[in-house]
Amino acid sequence: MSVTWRGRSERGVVLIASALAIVALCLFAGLVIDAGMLQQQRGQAQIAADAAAAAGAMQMLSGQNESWAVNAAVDAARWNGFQNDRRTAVTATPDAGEKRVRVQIVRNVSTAFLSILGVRSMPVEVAATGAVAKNGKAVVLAQ
Amino acid sequence: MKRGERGSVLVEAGFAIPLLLLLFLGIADFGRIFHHTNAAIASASQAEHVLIGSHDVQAGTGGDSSRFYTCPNPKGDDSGSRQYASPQSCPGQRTYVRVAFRVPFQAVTPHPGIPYPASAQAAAVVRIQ
Repeated sequence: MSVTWRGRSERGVVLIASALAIVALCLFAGLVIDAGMLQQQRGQAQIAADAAAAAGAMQMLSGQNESWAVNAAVDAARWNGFQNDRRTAVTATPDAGEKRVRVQIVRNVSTAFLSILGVRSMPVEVAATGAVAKNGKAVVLAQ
Repeated sequence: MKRGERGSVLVEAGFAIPLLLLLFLGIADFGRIFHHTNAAIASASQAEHVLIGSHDVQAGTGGDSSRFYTCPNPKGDDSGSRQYASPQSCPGQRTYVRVAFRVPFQAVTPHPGIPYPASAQAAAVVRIQ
């Protein structure tokens, strides 16, 4: 069945509709890709925070002062690819009384497709608390 | 449909459908990359916790770079993934263990101009003493 609209030409209708669909699909695909990238960065940051918290807790148990614990935590985070720079902040807060170290990592992750909509970066924030169990092993208490 | 337009829809669809197909397959491939990478990150994270919880905390016993640790596979199977652990030494008395997971990846459809990675990988570096 042929469909005409007031007798006008149908030439190009499919092409225009497809072009619009492709643009919409590209936008949604871009959003999903950016969300995936953020999720992956969050996973890597959590790994770094856990390692940093455990490293800091080890220092607390061995009787070192708080600055050693902070250094150990920051160092462990650096080994996992997260160090203090223009877009990343690594903060280690020791608690000598409880022999715990809390590590917080905040990184501004650049977006690829969301920047089209004006969102150039989004923050990823994770935290972990490291302590030492009674059996003398380091544990990550909470995330 | 006017005379002369016969087949034009078919021709236009012939241009549009391959493009849309390429786009859909690209979305599927990106999804697969993310899935593989997330699996590697989850594995590295679990291996990291195994490492953290399996070592006695003692001061001044580090520096032994010859220690080698094999991490259990958190997924419980070896399908499509390889795992290894290697020690890394730092100056002083610090010893780090790096656990890396690599999942091979192959795109369903090669896209021109998009270099797909050969594998998705994630690693965790844990300090031991």
